[in-house]
Amino acid sequence: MFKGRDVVSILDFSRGELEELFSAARRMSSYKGRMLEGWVVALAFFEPSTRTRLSFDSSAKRLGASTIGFSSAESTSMAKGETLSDTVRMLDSYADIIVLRHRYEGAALLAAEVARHPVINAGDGKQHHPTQAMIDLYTVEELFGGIDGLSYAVVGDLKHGRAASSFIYGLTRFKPRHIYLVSPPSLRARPEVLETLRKTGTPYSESGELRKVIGDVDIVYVTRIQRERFSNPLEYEEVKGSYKVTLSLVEESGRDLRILHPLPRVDELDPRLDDTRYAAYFQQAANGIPVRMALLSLIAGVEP
Amino acid sequence: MRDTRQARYSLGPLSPVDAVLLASLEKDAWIEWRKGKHYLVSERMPSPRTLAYAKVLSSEARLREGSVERDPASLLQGVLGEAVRCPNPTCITNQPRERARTRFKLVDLSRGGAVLQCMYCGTMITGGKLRSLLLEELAKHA
Repeated sequence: MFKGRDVVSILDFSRGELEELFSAARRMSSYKGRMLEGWVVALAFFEPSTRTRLSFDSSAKRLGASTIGFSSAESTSMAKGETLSDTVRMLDSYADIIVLRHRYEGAALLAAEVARHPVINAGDGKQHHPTQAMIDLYTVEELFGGIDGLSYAVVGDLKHGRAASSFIYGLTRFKPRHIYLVSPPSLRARPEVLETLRKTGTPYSESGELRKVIGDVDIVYVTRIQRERFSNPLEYEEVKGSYKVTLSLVEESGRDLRILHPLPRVDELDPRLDDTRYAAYFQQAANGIPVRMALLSLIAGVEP
Repeated sequence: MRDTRQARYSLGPLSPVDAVLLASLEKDAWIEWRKGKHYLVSERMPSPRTLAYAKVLSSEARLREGSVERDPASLLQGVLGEAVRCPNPTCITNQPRERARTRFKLVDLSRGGAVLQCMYCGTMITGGKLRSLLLEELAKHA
């Protein structure tokens, strides 16, 4: 049941609900109509964004809704010292759905508590990015015909990366054969993520090197190092460029694997991968539209 | 002067430091030393916050009322409102002027023991971290 619901974490959704969303997303690929005519969607982006903001904007408009919003905290009254709660209260009276990105963890939950209208978390600090995980899982289903039984390597900054954490959380709603968490030691997945894997009985292991596990993997999910989340720039300098997925590494694996990346990327993906069958990250980015269209329509309570 | 208070509830065993920390939170509670172990004792039922903290600080801690002994976690329901600050500096509850008050849930770990988990940012507070946060608070009010 999606109608009127807040989307704070992917952990709030069951497997059945995610499958309902994917089914709606498949129907959205060919949708031409104005089912959300008269609706206003607020895009409140207190942090920079390209894909998420634009795909929410495009999705809302493709459904006939109009959008209002901003794309940085500096362009709002928060620059004058206004609190998030006050900004959300104002948006709540101007819009029917609020899409929110914020640098602090828990901002989306606070907004959902304050607002009467549904709040969709478009990223809160390093914690959650539920709609990205929905897109990622939908892409896996498109590529392999299902999510269960596959082996995944989640590679990169697992400590600060909200897309990586949310993808891992999302996988716990399914039955992956194994999840390899591949990261430099200082960027290991956070304790609460590991505990969720243990509690749900999801098979996983941690590794420092993709080369050691790639021979057993169907999906390589790569993330960039989240420079903006480091409190100490020296720590970033120590780990930057510490991993790279190259074409030769993928070819040597002998696997017909696929690579996902929530983008943007820095230098962790070999550009020579872009035109190979391994690269699925542009398809993943394109899937932002049908999945977010489906989510908006379900939350609005209008069946696609 | 003879102490006339009746020790109706006993919470422990606790380390000496943990007993002092919890006693600082519980009005009218005192510490007893039995068979080499420390217990927080009181006439009144300890607060949910104290029960939750005892569970996080010591997996062996039990609440005894007369001859009935219970796991402190079994007496807790829902979310713990009045609790330590979240140690995550980028948690929304640590932003000045925001109205998010700290809220934690007590989580039993799959590998044994328990932690407090921030409802807003998901940060887990282990026994060691909780101890240092409580010491900080105690020092502030000393």
